[in-house]
Amino acid sequence: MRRLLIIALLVLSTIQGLVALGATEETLDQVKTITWWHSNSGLAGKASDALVESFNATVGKEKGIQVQAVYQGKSNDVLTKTKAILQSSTTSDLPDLVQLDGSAVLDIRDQKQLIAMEDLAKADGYDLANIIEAARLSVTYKNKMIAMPFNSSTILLYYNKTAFDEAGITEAPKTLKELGTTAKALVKTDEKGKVTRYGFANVPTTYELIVWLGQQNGLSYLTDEENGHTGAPTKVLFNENGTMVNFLSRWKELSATGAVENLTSDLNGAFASGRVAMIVASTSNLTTIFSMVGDRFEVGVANFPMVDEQATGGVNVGGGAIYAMDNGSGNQAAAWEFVKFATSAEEQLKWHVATGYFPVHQDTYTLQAFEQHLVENPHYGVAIRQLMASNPKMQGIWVPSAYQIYYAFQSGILKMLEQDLSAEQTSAALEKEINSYFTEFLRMQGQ
Amino acid sequence: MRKLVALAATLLSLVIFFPIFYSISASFFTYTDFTSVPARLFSSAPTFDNYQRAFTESKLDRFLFNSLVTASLGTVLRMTISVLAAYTFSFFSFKGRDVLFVLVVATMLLPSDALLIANFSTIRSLRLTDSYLGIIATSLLAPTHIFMLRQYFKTVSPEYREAAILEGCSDSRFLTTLLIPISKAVVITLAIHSFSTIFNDYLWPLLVTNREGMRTVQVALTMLGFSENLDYGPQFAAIALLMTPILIAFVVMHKPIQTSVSTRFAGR
Repeated sequence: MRRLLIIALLVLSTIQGLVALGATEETLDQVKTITWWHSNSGLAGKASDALVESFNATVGKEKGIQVQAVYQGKSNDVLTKTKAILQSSTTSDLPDLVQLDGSAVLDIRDQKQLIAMEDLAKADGYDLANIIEAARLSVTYKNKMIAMPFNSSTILLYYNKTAFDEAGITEAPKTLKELGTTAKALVKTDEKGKVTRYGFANVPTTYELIVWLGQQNGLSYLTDEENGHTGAPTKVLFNENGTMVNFLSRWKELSATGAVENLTSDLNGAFASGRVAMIVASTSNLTTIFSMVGDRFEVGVANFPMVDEQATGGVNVGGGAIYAMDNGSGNQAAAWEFVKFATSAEEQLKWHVATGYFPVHQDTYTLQAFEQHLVENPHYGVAIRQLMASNPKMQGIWVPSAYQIYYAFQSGILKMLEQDLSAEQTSAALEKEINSYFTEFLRMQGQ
Repeated sequence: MRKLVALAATLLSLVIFFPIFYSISASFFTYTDFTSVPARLFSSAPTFDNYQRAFTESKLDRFLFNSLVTASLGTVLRMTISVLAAYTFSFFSFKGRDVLFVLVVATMLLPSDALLIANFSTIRSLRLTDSYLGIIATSLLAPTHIFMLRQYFKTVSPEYREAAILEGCSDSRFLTTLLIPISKAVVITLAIHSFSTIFNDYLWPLLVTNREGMRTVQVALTMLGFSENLDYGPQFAAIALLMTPILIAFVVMHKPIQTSVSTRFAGR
């Protein structure tokens, strides 16, 4: 009886398969709905709505998949919500896809509901080499690509070209030393001697230090376990390998020019208003900064300044990625169809133009339309050439207590400048503080 | 001395007034007004564009409606529960009353963030996600309200109630026609406070809703901005709109609020 039933079921399922191949109406009846949680608001929100619409009207319609994009608040809120569901044991509320940023990796990577994107890609016979190596490695944990890079960005130097012209500067600074000289030439003071325009503004945090420490000597890791990409880090390396001391010494020299404002927030605003002549910021700020400055002055962009001539590692890829979750719906293949579409060469071009995030698909760069776009917007070319020339192994850090570490860097450097501490002292203090966070994390994990 | 106090009060009120004024003024700013040097207080060319964009770029009207419904419903239920609980705690004596009261007050020590995930699981199991009840459920028990109302009710001599009961007055009548009217100031202050807390809540409503149509207005605020964007206009327009209901409530009710504060200070 049982065998008969199985045979009957098998026959039925093949018939159904045949019918599905023949008639399109049949597939429409079994539309699979994929939910995608994201944090794209404003410009990026509009672009992701357009992306979903375009998928639903083309590939989605053909294959009977409809994507429902749900804005779940800021990036951090999306993570909070995802974690709440993961902890509540009933995981059917999980979305099929969730877009999270780099700081989420630590909370997500070991969840059993996470489906490694690499597995979905392989099941479809998709060649991961289509995705830019640096972006791929930015979401690789223990040699497996766990998510699909989506809203990827790098860091760039923005400068006030009008101010450069006035000061007779023709070339953007390439190293921190040159940055100091250039910044000094750009400072403006009023009759009372009060600075009305600073040459540069920054207090380095994790975001900048990943690059300024990582790029030294071709490639340097900030922590062991390859910046946390092969396992939980147990200690920092920046003190013993001397990269922090080297950087801090250069930073002190830079600060001594008096042309650097120790600004910790709203650097974009300070730059757009003309109060600061140079800043470093994400490539995803390109569109915004240009529209914000308007025709007040001309904006130029250049490679992120290197610590010194030996710091040839370039820049890393930051930003967010899309993670696939097992919510018991069995929709993984359909979810992958959307991920594949969203990161296809053509869609990545549209996404890039709308938001400034750079395309993660290799083929986008050879599209005629993309070349045309670069001719019209040469600034994007700078960011892309910089990334292509970078060491793809240079990656962000995956560390516990990321928030505390961010402020440890910032306040440590400020303290060094204000109290005139030595670079060695500051580096050792940072090592001690950050190592204690790692130890605490490992202790809680029971390792 | 009096002049000094007046001066300090004026300065303080300016500190409080300025952000309100600025958000309203900034809602009329043009794109570049936000970064002009020196910073401006008034728009260079006042425009309603930001308001228009706030409504077209998010379903602000729908979200505003959701917020008003949840905040009003939440306030009414919360006040009903609080008043009844406080009444019981202050006028009835029964076994375990004080233990119960301590238990209620002890929940004040629990930070709401620590309960977030547990509460979420509960609401989920009750299938209340994507519902107004789900949004307000966790705000219904307000230990601070119960505590403050009880303290206030305690100042009313129990003999009043005994006399009223002897005259044939029921508890509900005593509560509605005597106790609440004489505690009007506290009740109104707490109600406004309730309304604004529920109205301003962000994370919880976000957590228990998935459908866009169920989202509240605080979520819309983040939708209008972009972390790497300097386009603050629509956000300020939405902020100006959000402040209005609560500002109106304060202006209309400022008398009772004042009495409730001054009587408390007078140590009634």
